[in-house]
Amino acid sequence: MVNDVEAPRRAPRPKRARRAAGKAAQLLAVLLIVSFGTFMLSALLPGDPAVAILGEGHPPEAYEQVRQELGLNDPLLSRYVEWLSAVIRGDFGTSLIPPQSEVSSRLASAFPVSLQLAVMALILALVISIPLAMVSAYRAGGVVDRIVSAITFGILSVPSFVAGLLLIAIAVNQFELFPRAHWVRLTDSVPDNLYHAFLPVLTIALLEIPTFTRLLRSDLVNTLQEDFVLASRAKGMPSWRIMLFDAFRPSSYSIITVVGLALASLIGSTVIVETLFSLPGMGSLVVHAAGQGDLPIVQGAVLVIAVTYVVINTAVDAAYSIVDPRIRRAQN
Amino acid sequence: MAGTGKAHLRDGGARLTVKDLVVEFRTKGDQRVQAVSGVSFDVLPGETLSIVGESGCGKSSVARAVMHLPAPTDGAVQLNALDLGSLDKKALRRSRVAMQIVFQDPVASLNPRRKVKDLVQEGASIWGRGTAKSRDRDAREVLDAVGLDPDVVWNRRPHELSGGQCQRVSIARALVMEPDLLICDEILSSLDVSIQAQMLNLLRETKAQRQLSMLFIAHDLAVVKNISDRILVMYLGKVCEVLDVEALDRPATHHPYTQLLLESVPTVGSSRVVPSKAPAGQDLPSPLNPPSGCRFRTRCPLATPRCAVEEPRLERKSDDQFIACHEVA
Amino acid sequence: MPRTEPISAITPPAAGATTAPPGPAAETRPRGAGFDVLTLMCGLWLLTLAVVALVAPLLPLGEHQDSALTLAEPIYAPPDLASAHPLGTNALGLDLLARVIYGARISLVVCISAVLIGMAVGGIVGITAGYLRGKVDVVIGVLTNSLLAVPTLIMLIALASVLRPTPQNMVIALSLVAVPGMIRVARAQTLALSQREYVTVARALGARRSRVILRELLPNVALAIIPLGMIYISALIVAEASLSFLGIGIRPPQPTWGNMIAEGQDGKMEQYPFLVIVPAFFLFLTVFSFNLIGERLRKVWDTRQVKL
Repeated sequence: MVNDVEAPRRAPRPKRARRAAGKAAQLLAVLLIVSFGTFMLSALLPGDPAVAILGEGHPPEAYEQVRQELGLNDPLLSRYVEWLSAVIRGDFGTSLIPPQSEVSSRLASAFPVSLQLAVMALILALVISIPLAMVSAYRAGGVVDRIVSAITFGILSVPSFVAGLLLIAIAVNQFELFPRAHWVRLTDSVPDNLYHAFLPVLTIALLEIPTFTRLLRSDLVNTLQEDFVLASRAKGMPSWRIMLFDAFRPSSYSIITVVGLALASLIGSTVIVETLFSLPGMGSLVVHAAGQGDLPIVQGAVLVIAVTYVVINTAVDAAYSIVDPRIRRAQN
Repeated sequence: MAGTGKAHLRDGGARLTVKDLVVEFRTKGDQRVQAVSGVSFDVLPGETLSIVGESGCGKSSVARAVMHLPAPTDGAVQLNALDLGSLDKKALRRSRVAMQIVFQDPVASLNPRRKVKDLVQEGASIWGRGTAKSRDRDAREVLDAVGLDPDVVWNRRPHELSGGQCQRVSIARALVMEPDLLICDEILSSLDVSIQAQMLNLLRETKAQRQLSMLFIAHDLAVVKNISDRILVMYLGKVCEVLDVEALDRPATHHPYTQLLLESVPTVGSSRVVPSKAPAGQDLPSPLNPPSGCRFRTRCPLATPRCAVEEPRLERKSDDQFIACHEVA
Repeated sequence: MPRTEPISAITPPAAGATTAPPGPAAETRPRGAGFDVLTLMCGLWLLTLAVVALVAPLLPLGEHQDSALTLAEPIYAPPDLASAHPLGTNALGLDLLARVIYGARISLVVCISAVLIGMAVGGIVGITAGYLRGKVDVVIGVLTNSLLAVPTLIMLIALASVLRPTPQNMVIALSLVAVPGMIRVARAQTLALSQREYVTVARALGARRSRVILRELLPNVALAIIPLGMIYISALIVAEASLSFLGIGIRPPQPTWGNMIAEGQDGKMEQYPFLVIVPAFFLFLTVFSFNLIGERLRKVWDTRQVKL
C-alpha cells in the first residue's frame, strides 16, 4: 500500500490579506454609516433650526442669515462631508447652550470618567463572578448552583436605576457609608476617587455579573467533563487545583470576548449610574445635552462612543483569534 | 481506477444522460474541493441505475447536480434530450419538475410546520395545477398508493408520524408530480430493516406501474441488488465500475473496490452478520488532496507504480460490465 | 444490513445544523422541559397585567393623571389595602395603583409593538440575508453592525434629543433597538435551515425564491425568533423605563413606571419608600416574567428540534 497523503496545504497568504482588507472595508463602512446617522439627527429635528436658535419674532432676513451661517442652505451631502472632515480633525463644533464651550473639550473631560467606571466595574464584576461560577460549576445542579442561578437570574431583571436607587437609599442615606453626588478625579486623589467610585461601580457591575457568571459556569461545566480533567482527577489532584489550573484557563476564552465587548458597550451604558450619582462622565453629559436639545454635544458623544465600541470590538476579535488555538485552527 | 471515460454510455433513447459531471465546493479557507470529477452515465426509460460508494465519494453530490440544485461546476445533464445547462431560470424550474428527489433523512425532508395534506399537494399548488378538489383527490390517491391511509394522516404534521411514514409522505409528494425520473438519495439508510424491505417493494411496484426511471443512491450493495438494473460504483468522485445487476453475482473479476464492497455484504446463513472487513483498513483519503493516478491505489491490494502515474479509463470488459483498472481489465 | 456510514471529510452541507448542542448541566436538571410552577405564575402575572391594563378605563380606579381632580385627596398616603388608595398616593394625591396600571398600559403597548415591528422587519431582512448570501448579506451585515455600534441607551437618548417623546416615536426608536438582534438570529437560523432537505425539495418541486422564503423558511425561523422576542420585550421595558426615569422618555403627568420611580429621587424615597417600591415591584415582576418565559420557551423549542 502506498501512502503519500500530503499535509493539507495552507491557505495562500494573499487570500488572507484580501480577507483582512475586506474586514477593514466593512469596518470603515460601519463607521461611515454611524457618522452619517449621527449627522442626520439634525435633520430629524422638528422645526427650523434658525427659529430654534433665534427664537420667534425676528425679521425673515435674520433667520436667513443664520441659515447661511450654519450652511443650512447647502446640499445635504456637502454639509455632511464638511461636518465629517471637521470631526476627523477633532472639531465637533460648539455647544448650543451657554456656556458655548468647545464640544471636544467637554468630551475630553468626560471620557476618562466613563472609561474608569467601565474598567473598574468590569474588574469588580469579574472578581465576583469568577468565584461564583466556580462554586456553581463545582457541583452543577446542586443546591449552591441553583441558588446562584436563581439570584443571577433575579439580578438580570433588576434595572440598574432601581438597583442604584436602592443602593443609595441603603448605603448612603440610611447608613451613611458613602458620600453622594461628588466626584474626585483620579488625578487629584486616588483613595478619594476609589471611595467615591465604589457605589457607582458596584451598580454597573451588577449589570454584568449575571451574564459573566452564567457564561463562565456553563463553560466550566463543559470543560470539567473533558478527559484531561478526568486524568488530573485520576492522578489525585485536589478539586480546587483542578478548578483553578486545569479547568479555568480553557474555559475562559468566551468570557474574555464577552468582557471585551462589555467594556465597549459599558462606556455608553454608564448613563444611568452617572446621572444617579451625578458623575461628570459621557452618560450624564449626553443626557443633559439631550434634555436641552444641545445637538452638537449629543452628536459628538454618540460618535466617540460608537468609534470606541467599534475599535474595541475589532481589537477583541483580533486578540481572540490569536489567543484561542481552536479558532486559529478553524480558520486554517 | 478513478476512471473517466464514456465507454459505458448507450446510444440514444436515454431518459437521462450525464456527461463529464464535475462538482466543486469551496471550503472555508477558499480552497476548492472536487466532490465529483468527471462522472458520466445514462438511465433508460423504466430503468433503475444505482450509484454505490462510501459516504463522501460524491454520490449525493451527483444526485443534486443532476437536479441542478445547485448546478454542477462542469459537465452536461440531459433530461429527455434537453440540456438543462442551457435553460434559463424559469425553464429550468419547469423542467426540473420531471425529476423528483427523495432524501435520506425522512424528517428533515418535511417542513415541520406543514400538514401531510399540504406537503403532498405542495407541487400542485406551486404550479397551480388542477382545482382544489382534483388536487385533494390526487393527493389521497397517491397517499393510498404509498401505503398510507389518507384519512388517518391527512391532518397530521411530520412529528406525529414515524420515520417510515415520513419517508412514504416524501415519496408520495414526489410521485404526485408524475416525474419521469425519481432520484432516491440513500432513502433506506435511516430506516429499520423491516421497513427497508417494505419500502423496496413499494419502489419496485411503483416503478413497474409508472414506467419510472430511477437513480438510486446507496452505500450498500446488498440493498441495491434487489432493485437495480444497472450499478455504478464510485470512489472519491470517480467511477470504478459500471455493471448490470446480473454481472454482480457472476463470479467474474470485479474492480478491487467493488470486490471490497461485495465482501462487506453479509451473506445469508453466515455466522458473521457484522460487515467483515468493512471497506476501511484505512480511512478515505482527503478529497482536498486526492491521490495521483488511480484514486483507489492507496487502499488497493493490487496497486503498482503505474497506478500512481496513470489514471485508468473505464473500459469494456463484457457487454454488461465496464471497469476502470489497470490490473483487472 | 443497514450500516451507519463512516463520517468522511466532506459531504455536501449536512442537515441538522439547527439543533444547538444541548447545553450542559442546565438541561440535566430535573426540571426538564420546564413548565413548572414558577413559569406558570409568571405567565399568570403577565396575563393579569395585560388584561387589567387593557380594561383599565373600565375599572373603578383612582385618578392617575389629572392632578386638578385630586385636590381633595390625601398626598403621600401610605398603602392601605382597605382604603380608597390601596397602594397609596403620590405628591399630587394621584392614586398609585391607577398609575402603575396606566403605566403598564403604556409600557406594554409601546414595547410589544416595538418588538413586533422588530421581529417582522428583522425577520424578513435576516432571512433574505441568510438565504441570498453574497453581496446582499454583506450589505445587511454592515447595516446591522452599524446599528449595533451605538449602545442601546445612547441611541435612544440621541433619538430622544430630536424626536418628541410621544408613544409613536418611542415605538420607532425602540424597534430600532430590536431589529439588529432579530436580523442576526433570523440570518443564522436561515443559514442552518436552508441546508435542510425540505428546502431543496421545495426547489425541486419548482418553488420560486419568494415562496421558499415565505412558506418554508419564515414559519420555522419564527419559532426561533419568538423566545428572543420575549427577552427583547423585557429589555425594551427596562430601556423605556430608563428613558422616562432620566426624564427624556414619556413625560409626566402621563404615568410610566420609569417616571414614577423617578418621583422617589432626592430623598423622597426615604420618607415614602412606597413611591419607588410600588412601581419598581411591578417593573421587576414583569421583566422577570418575560425573561423567564423567554428562556423556558427557548429550551422547550430547542429540545423539540433535537427530538425532530
